[in-house]
Amino acid sequence: MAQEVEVTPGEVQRARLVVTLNDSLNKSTPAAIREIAAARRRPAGEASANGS
Amino acid sequence: MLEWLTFAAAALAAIGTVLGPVVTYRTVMATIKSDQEKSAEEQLQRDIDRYVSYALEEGPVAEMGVKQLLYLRQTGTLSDQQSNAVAEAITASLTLAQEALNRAPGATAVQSSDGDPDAVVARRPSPHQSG
Repeated sequence: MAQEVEVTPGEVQRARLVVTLNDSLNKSTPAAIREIAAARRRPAGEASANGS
Repeated sequence: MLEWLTFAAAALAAIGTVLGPVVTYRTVMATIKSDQEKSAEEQLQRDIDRYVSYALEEGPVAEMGVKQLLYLRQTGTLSDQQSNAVAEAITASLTLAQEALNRAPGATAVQSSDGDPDAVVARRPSPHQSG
């Protein structure tokens, strides 16, 4: 069982922007930001377990 | 001797007559150029601020803001200092998602579908069958 944290498409794009900018500045990026940037899309039809 | 001095004075006056307007022209042009550069810098900063605010939205607006900022960086328009400021601002906007991931070591991030309100509201990691 692996835990998952849902992020929005906007957050993924923003995280990718931060990674790109920090890489170009030779600056480290927090691991969590890199994880968000690498977020995979949930397969279609798969229900979210985060329902509130 | 006096003749030479008179000639020299006349020559200097002639040179001054020619160079005066040139110096004035160059000074005026330098001022105009400086004003234009300052205006361009201010315009760029306004653009950056606008694109950052777009990037903080969701959907196509966010996508446009992110792409514009990437374009400015790739073309060298965005300086290191400006890039750093943008990265800091955007990083701050990801605090909630970061905290959710940090609370669950080993958790993976999964991108919700567009417009899924649960992804914004529910920040607590929950067990989910992966793979």
